[in-house]
Formats: sequence, C-alpha cells, structure tokens
Amino acid sequence: MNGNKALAFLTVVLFIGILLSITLYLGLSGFSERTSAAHDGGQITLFFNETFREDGAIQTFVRYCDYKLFHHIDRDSIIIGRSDWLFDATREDNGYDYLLDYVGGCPYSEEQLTRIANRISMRREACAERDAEYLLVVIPNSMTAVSHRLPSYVGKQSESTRLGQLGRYLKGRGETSFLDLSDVMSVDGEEALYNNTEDSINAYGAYSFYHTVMSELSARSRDVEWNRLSADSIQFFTHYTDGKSTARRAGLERLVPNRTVSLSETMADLYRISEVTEQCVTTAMTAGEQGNKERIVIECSTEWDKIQLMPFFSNTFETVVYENDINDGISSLDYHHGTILIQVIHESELDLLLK
Amino acid sequence: MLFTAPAFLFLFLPLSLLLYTVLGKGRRRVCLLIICFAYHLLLNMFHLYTLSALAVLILYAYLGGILIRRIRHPAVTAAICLLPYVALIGMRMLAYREVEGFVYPIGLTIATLATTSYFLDTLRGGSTSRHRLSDLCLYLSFFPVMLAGPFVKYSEFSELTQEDRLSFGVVDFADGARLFMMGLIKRIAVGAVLMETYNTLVLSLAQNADVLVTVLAMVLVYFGVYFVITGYSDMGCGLARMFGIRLRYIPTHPFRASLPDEYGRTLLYSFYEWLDDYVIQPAVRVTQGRGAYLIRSVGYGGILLLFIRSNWYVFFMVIPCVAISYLSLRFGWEKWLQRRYGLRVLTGFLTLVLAALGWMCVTVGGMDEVLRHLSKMSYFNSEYYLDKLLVSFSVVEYFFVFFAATVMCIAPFLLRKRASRGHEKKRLALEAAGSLLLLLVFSFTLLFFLPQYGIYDTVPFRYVFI
Repeated sequence: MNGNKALAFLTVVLFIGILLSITLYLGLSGFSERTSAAHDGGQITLFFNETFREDGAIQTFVRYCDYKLFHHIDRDSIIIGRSDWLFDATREDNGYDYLLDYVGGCPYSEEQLTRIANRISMRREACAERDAEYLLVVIPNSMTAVSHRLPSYVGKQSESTRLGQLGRYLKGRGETSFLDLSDVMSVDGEEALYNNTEDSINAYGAYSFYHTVMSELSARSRDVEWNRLSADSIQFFTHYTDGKSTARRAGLERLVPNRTVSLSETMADLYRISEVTEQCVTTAMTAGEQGNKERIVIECSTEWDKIQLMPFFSNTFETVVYENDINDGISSLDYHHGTILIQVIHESELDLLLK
Repeated sequence: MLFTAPAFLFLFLPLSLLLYTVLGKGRRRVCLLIICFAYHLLLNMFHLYTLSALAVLILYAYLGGILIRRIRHPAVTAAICLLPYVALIGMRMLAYREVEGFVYPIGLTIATLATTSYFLDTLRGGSTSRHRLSDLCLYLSFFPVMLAGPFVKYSEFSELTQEDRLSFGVVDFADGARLFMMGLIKRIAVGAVLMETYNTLVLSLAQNADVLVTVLAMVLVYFGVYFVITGYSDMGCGLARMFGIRLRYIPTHPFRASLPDEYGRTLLYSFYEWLDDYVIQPAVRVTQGRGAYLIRSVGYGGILLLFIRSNWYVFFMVIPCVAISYLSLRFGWEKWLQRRYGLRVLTGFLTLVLAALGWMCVTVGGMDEVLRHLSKMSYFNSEYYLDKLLVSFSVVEYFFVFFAATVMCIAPFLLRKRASRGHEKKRLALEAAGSLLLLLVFSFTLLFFLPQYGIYDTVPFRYVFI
C-alpha cells in the first residue's frame, strides 16, 4: 500500500470512527428507549436529533468549552469577567441596564436629579422633626466596585453613571443623608467584598457597610458614645460553594464556584429574633447584653442584605427592625418608634427614588 | 433531516455507506437510488405532500422527455421547460406569504433546474440508454446536490453514474470525507456562527441604528453567506465522492470579485454555468447574436438574483444589477480592471458593500427597510452597542472561526497540489498533518458547534428557499 493509500485509509477509518463512536454513545444513552415510542422513520430521526441535543454530557461539554476556551456563555444578560467573575448586564425585574449605566449612556436629567434630591431632603427633615437620624445608603453594583475584574473590552467606568452623577449633585446641594459606598466597596486586592457569581455583598462587604454607617452615625452624634463591634471580635472564613444566582442563570453553577466569605460560627450572636411579621423582622439583644439603646430601623430591598447585615447591627443595637422593603417616606420609623432610619438601596435600584 | 442533522450524520450516513459497501459492484446504482429515495422519504416524513412534488416532477420530466424525443421542436421544448417554473414561482409565493400548513419542498429549485438540463440535453441528442426512468429518478433525487449544488448537467451525471464508472475506492472515499468535513466546518463552525451573530445584530439594529453595528452586520452577512453556500456545496461534493461519483469541484473565492456580476458568478458558479448553457447561449443563438450583451446582462444580473429570491422588491434590485452587468460586458470592464490593481481594489471594496447590502435586503425583507435604517445611523451610544456585542459574542470564538475559515479556504488548494511530484515524504507528512487537523476541527465542530444550531436540522437557509 503506497503512502497516499495508507493516508487515505487512515483518514477513512478516523472519519467513520468519529461518526460511529457518537452513534454508539447516543445509542447507549437513552435513544433506544425513546425510539420504542416512535411510529415511523421521521419520528426516529426526530428523537435522535433530540437525544443528541439534550444529552447532558454534550451540553456540559458545550458549556465547559464555551466558558473555558471561548470565555463566553449563551446569555447576553451576563458578562464574563476575569478570574471567574460573572457580572449581570441587565436586571430582569426592573429592566436596569448595568452596562449602559456603566458607560454613562443613561444619565439622569436635571429634573430627575432635583426630584430625587427633594425626596431625600424631605425624608431627612421629617426624621429631624422626630429627633431621628436618617441615612440613605447606596450599595454600588459589583461592576462598579470590582471594575478591574471586568473584561478588557468594557473599558473604564464613565464619569456620567447615575450614582456618580447623583452623588455629585447631592454633594453640591449639601445633602448629608446620602451615603455612597462606592469608595468603600472598591478594593483592588484579592479581598473582594462581593460574591463573584452574583451582584451581592459577602460578609466582608457587610462589615464594610456596617463600619461605614457606624462611623457616619458617630460623626453625627459626637455627644453619644456608640458601641460597635471591634474588628478583633469578628472572624471570617472563606470557602468555595456552587455558583450563585448569576452562575445559575448561565448554567455554570458547577463550573464557576463562588468565593463565599461568611462569618465564622465561633462568632457569638448576642441577639435573638423577637418578632417576625410579613413586613419585618425584629431582633433584640439577649438579657444581660448591652448594646446601643437607639431603636434602629433598617429597610432592605433584598433578603440577602438583611441576612448579611443582621449579625453586625443586631449585635450592636438592643433593638433592630429589619423591614422587608424600601418605603416611600418614613412611615416605618413612625410605626416602629425608631430613632434611626437607614434605607439600603442598590445602585441598580436608584429609580425607586423617582417613584 | 438535512446534512447537518445528527440523524443524518450519525445514523443515515453510516448506514447508507455500509449498505453501499456491502452490496458491492454491479448493484451500486440500485443501491444509490434506494438511498436517495430513503433520504427524501425521511426528509419529508412529516409533510408527505412535498414528496409528491418530487414524484410529480419526475413523472413530468419523464413524459416531457418522451415528447421532446418524438417532436424535437425547440418551441415545444421551451414550453415544456417553462411549466415547472410556473409551479416553482407559485410555491415560492406561498412560502414568502407564510401560508399556514404549507412547507416549501427543500431542494425543489435545484430539481427544477435539473429538469431543464434533462429536457435540453434530450433535445440536443444522445443514446437511448440515457433516458431510462431509473437514470432520471437518480438524477432528480440525487440529494447531495439538492441544497446548493454543484449543479450537474444531465448528460454528465448519467455518464458518471453508469455502473462501471461508480468507483468506490479508499482514496476517493477519503477525498470525499475530507470535502464533507470541510463543508460541515464551513457550514456550522463558520457560516452558522456568522449568520447567528448577524441575526442578533439585525434584531438590535431594528431598535438602534448604530454605525459600527451596521458595518459589522454587513461584513458578517457577506462572509456568512459565502460560507453557508460553499459549505453545503462542499458537503454535496464530498457525499457524492464518498459514493464514488466524482463531481467537478471548483473552490470559489468571490472575495476577489471587482464587479457585482463577477461576485454573483463566482459565488454561484455552477448555477452560472447552467444559466450560460441552457438560457443565455440558446437565447443568443435565437436572436442570432443581436442584443447578446443585453441577454447576458439580464441573465447574470437578473435571473441570478431571482434565483436567490423571487420577491417583488428583488425586481427593483434587478434593474441596477442588469445595468452594471451590461456596462461591464459592453465595455469589457473586467479585463480593463485586471491591469489596474488600485482601481480593482476600490471596485472590489464597492462590490463588497453592494453585495452585503443586497444580502441585507434579502434577509431584512426589502430595500426600503435597509435604506430607512441607513438614513438613521448614528454614533450615539456606540461604545455601549459594541460592548453589548462583545458580551454576546466571544472574541476568542471568532478568532477560532476565523482560523477555521482560513484553513477551509486554503485546504482545497493544498489538496489539489497533491498531484505534484517531488519531495514525496514531505508532501505526505504535510498532508497527514492537514488531515489530522481537519479531523480534529471536525470532531470539535460535531461536539461543540453542532449541538447549538438545532434549527439547521430542518432549515437549510433562513432567508432563501432553494
């Protein structure tokens, strides 16, 4: 057999081998069960096509290669970042476009800025009338805080993002109740304050939130001695879990682990949950423990924020009420007879301030 | 069950090749006929009336052939040739209107063109042994060429499929396998990726007319269409060769076209040859050379376009195409440009733009839509649209697609060089490496790209009915 024929024979064998190996694999993986229900050749071909496309191993291979080799997933609402970071490109519940805001493509108008500013100042004044403190705390998007993990084609964040624009406008008006955590949450090193597979803060991020809010409250009430948790009393531990919501939407929860930072179980909880209703959860420090006497009301838009913030604030204040939603106004402060109202909002929810 | 369907690749093809091998010499024509009918049956199982379209066409062609051999009159032959086109245009109109319950029979256009070849080859004479019903059935039902050619004349096909001509050797099979693999890679790993990106861009363009995205869409449709058409054509040639039929394989590169009609001729070269042989030459003979340029330009510029799409708005595109083709033929622009490299590059670029716009008209559904969009183009939020694009489509994947496309374009020339002698061992080594690389990319295409494009199991082209 000369060289040409030998090569041709090898090519034929490999070609047929590739086709038949897939045929055998599909035949063994459930196709034969499906064909027992087929009435004719057309249905057999249909079932075969479906078996091929729905095969779990093939789908996993496609997702794996797509992610690992091509750094891509079949969802245009998710951005693949560096070092196993996943970012949301759009928010499904309110239609917020993270990417458009990041490049400064949807700034607020003057009228909108004024409306938001007036709303915040009205709430601040209403709280002041009741001798209460008011803080509107904005948690930036993970895209804002960890922008160095975005893919290189996204570029630098624009100066005209909504949060940046709002912050500058409110600062210009002398508004003191608006607290933008962008600088606090932006960390260049490995110790990120966010989950890498979801736009949410981890325990580190919650501690940074707590520390910043407590510093702000201390600065406002210089004549009050605020107890707060010291860094030494808090222990974190880092472990890897299955990917969170963004990874789950991409079908990558097994491929892209989440770097989860939690509070250590050895950290003592000095509080108990005293009341649970549809609208709120109230915690009280256990008998014998002494915390700050102020009754603090924290409105969170997500359950996750409440879970993350509870160990810090409930171990600091004797009574803390966690409302399940952001209210338009300060009705929760009146209802719970609070002395501090903290509304926690995400950068992707700033439009709530317009409603 | 098209060539890119898993059922074809992993069930039908291996089984049919096994049958073809086992039955052996002396029975291969019969086997091929059975395989072709089985394919059409499985393809049209859910719409059996489309099978009857092929059966009616075969019967019509057979009876028409008998009539032509008896009467031997050009006018009668012309009338017999035209009737299937009336039915074809009617079916296309039904398909364009998306009439409920109607499914356009896949491959009907090629089969209709094939009947013309049969009628005219019959008129031009030939031995009676070429007019057996089995020859005709095999010719009209030969599925490897039914999607995008290459178009084969009846006289040529009946010679190639004589029992003693059906060579089934390992070298031919390997050549066929290589061509088939190249075609699949072109169709799925390159063409499908580019066209799906194009589809997404067109949807986003409907809301926002961004300049960068528009330019990208034009580039994608230009190259995507090339790889889709040549992918099917290569697969067809490869399948034929695997069954021992050596169809003429001519690698085409319309990218070098400097004029729009040259682009059309190089992209659809086998249809151009059919047109030349069965429409233009006879028409020129009938008019005794008068108006030859006009006839040719109507053929190359007009009929070629209508072959792709027969909608009303295509008639508006035909007029400028015919005009450019006429001027090009009349004043010998092609030859003139060959000596002027710089101008050739410029006209080549313009041809790319016009071809891309033409394909956009076909896909979007009208020139007015495209013109309206072009008039609204702006750079507003360009950065955002480009980022959105890069979120949806991986740059690394496109590098891979570009690599695969380049290799598939170069490979045919390397295959042809095989005939040259000298440095035998080096040549064999290179060829072996090339074959292994092809097998690797083919395997990856099967396992990675093929599962993602299920639509092409039953739909050969999204925008064109062939």
